[in-house]
Amino acid sequence: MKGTNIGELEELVLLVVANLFDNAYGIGVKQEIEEKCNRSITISTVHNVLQRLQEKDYLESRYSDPAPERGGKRKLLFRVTPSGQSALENSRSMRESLWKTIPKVAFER
Amino acid sequence: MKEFPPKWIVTLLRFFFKPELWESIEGDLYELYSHEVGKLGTRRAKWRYLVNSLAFFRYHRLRQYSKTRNQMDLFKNYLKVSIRDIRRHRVFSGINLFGLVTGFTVLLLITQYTLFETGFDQFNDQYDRIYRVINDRYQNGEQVQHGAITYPTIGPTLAKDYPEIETYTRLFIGGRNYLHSNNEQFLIQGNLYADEHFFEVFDYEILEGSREDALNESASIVLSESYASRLLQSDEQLHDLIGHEVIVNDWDFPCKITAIMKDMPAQSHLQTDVLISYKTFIRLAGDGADNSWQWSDYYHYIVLSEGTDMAGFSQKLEQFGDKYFENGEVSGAEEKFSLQPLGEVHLDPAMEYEYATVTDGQYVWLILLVAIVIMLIAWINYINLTTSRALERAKEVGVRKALGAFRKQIFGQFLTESVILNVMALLMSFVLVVVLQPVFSDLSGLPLSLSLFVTSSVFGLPFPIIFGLVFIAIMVIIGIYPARLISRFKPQDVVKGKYSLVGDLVNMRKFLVISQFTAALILISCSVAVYRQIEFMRSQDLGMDMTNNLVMYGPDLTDFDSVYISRFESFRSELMSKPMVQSVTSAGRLFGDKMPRSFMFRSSADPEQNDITSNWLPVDHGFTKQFAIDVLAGRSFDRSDYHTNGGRVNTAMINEAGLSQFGFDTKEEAIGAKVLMADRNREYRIVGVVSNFHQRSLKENIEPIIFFPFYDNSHYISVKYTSGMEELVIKASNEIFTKFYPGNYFDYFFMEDHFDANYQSDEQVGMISAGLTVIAIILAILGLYGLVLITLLKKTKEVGIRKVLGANLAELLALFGSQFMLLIGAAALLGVPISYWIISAFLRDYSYSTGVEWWVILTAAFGIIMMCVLTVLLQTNRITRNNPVESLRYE
Repeated sequence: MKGTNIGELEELVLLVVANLFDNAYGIGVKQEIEEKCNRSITISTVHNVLQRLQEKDYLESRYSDPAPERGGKRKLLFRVTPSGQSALENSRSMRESLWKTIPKVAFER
Repeated sequence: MKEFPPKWIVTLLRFFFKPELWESIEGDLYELYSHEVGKLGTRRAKWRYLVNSLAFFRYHRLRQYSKTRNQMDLFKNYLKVSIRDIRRHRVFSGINLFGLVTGFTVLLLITQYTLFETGFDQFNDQYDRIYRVINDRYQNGEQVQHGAITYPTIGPTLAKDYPEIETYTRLFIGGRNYLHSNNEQFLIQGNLYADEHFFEVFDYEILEGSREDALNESASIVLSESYASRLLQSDEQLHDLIGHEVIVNDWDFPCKITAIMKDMPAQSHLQTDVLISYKTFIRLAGDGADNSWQWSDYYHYIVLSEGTDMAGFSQKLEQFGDKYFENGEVSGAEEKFSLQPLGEVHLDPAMEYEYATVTDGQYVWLILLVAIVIMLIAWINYINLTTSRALERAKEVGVRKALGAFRKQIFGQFLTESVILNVMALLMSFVLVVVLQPVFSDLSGLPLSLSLFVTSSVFGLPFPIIFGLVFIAIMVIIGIYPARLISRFKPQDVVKGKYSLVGDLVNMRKFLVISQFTAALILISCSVAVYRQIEFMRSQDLGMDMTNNLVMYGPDLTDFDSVYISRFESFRSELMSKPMVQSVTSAGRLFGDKMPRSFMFRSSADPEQNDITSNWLPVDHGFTKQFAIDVLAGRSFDRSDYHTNGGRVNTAMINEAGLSQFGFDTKEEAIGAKVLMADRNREYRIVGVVSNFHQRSLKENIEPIIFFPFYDNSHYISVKYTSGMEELVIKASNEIFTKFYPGNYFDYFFMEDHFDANYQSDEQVGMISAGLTVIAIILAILGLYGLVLITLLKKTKEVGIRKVLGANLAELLALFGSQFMLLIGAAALLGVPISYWIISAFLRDYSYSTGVEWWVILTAAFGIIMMCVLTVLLQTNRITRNNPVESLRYE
């Protein structure tokens, strides 16, 4: 495994799962990403990332009750674990510290 | 409604993913699908479902989530071993691959050809319900015609009498005509006169104008897209032509363009650029074209309503002829009517007066059969080479089994190998087919394209599906046999070195080799026989000499008036004054053409005045001399026999074949006798008897012919010239023709080419089958080469020991070669009688044939045996000439 770093898409999915809280399953995540981030993503990619995050222990999952709109199938609901939370926070603080140290002249034209 | 989601998708997903993910994946896919049904429609949503499901299969995910990780690893091992094995044994893999690629390529190309030829007219929606009315005519119990033409009243009367007929259409075939638009003249290479139901029966696409009314009115004309675009003025579009008026020939009324249709598809048995309404034809030809029970050049198609019982309907139809034709009183012959399914029109060459483009269906299937045989030879090579090498793989199998492999797994491994090789070969041959496509289309002269594979359907299923299923089935079958055999080895035996080939394997291999070479022998002797037959027909004395004859179309735009004949005579003498022109003549039909026929001849030699069927041919007085046809009695026509008023012509000639038909015992008896054309009320005095000649190809018998001294502006003009002067004679003919007949098109061809068109399909088949035969032989010999090589490799040591003990080359050859020679001998014994049988069946279709030539078959057998001897000899020779020290060291 490539360390405990999270990639850009992984971070995005993790944030979306946190946002959705109790409705974070495949389709929910897909739609949220498509709406909020204005980018399209396939369902298989979402599943892929969710599984990877779960293996890294940043997500935990449980099955909901069967839902009729899913042909009677249950939803696999995800929730951010504490280590997931700290991974998100790490990433955020790292970014913020990097933002803070940008010299003002860097963006001047 | 089919089950959704399809079961196989679910099974596939479940096979590759952990059970705890099944629900989540399936549920999400389903939810997505139900969202998208609303937005995109069911069709696209289903498609997206499929794409989305397949997107789940990603390489790294398969590795992560596969519940059958072990199997994947094992599979990878199989792949690795297979590829190593393929690379290690380059010769064998090469033979296998070469054979399979060649086989697939041939099969795919030929399949394409077959799909093209058998898929004619399927673009019609009512394809299965459209029939052509065909007409058999009998006189005195004998069939005198089996033709596609019939009387103009048949269609309407059938439709009136039988409610099963939904609709019908009536056609008349036009000849060369000229269309004048905006003071420009355009040639029409044969139009169709079609009635108002034409577009109800056939689904030719209309681009502009009204489909329903296109052919309703008299003087309506429908043009094909490409023809119409030639008429366009610079700033016009196709739709501007609708309602545009044109003049055809010298008709005294204009025709209105009512519709533009898309060019008729290549797979249409009807081919024309110009349709003119049938009512126009009635106006031109008279009411007989509508209501005659004697005029007989009309084509009818009917559409039966859905669910009609064909057998019952055909039975009812049998009464029809008797009811309306009163046992020959009406038309001079007893009439029988039957139906020909639209799908058969293109493939039935037996129909007389055929207008459609026709290919002999038997040939089409035959060629496909040969391609399949080639594929089988390649597969047999594969089976033989694989099983023969089984012993080499025995150790591998032994080790695998000792390490705990089940028989099923070994089986799977060898099946995998077969699949890999076959799929590889198929992919390579797809590439080859794409490359060879233009060459093949060129050779066959057909507009073939790869899209045929996609658009065709067989037995109601799309062709790609059928092909895929057959391919998989056969791949599994040919893989199973070696796989079963090899997986049967017992590890303990293998390790002890106590394994040998099972008896039935050896027998099986013998059987396969024999069948391969039997097939090769049959192919060789048959293609040589076809070639010989064509040569024979070409070399036969036809009873006439048509060499060095330039033919031009008659001046059909010039009026046939009282000065026509004298003008033609001056035209003739001016042409003949040219040094390279030997003679000039005009006739109603050319050699190679079918002649017009009448059923109502009568003869003064027959007191009962029975109707007689005979061909008739209008010729001029130069005919017999120009074509070196002997006058056996009496005289040939002379100038006094002609008259521009056809009603005043009263002489005729007859050919030898016609004598007995008309009741004459000797040639001399015919001279001065009278021939009557009952339906025209005319009498002709026979002035001459001419010798027999082959009017058409040697496939046909020589038929009775009555010659009449008629001229017509549509008659072909033949110019006999001095050999080698082609260019000069074309130039001179053009000049003089244009001078005498201004406003007409000068268009020419050579009589021999025209006649040879009769042999074209035979020649095409001959060429294709010769090519395929060569391929088949190469493959069979390659397979034998591989087998010999394997056998000898295994016996390298034995050869060494025998040599040390003093065996000489000849003895070794006899020892190792004899088993193969026995097989080939058996194949020859089997192949010779089968070839005989097939060749005699083929030759039965020809009235004049070489007969079955034994030497062809025997030479072919001998040739095959020699080729095999050579193969075995070369191989054996190589090994036996090795130094025994080296072969003994060989491991």
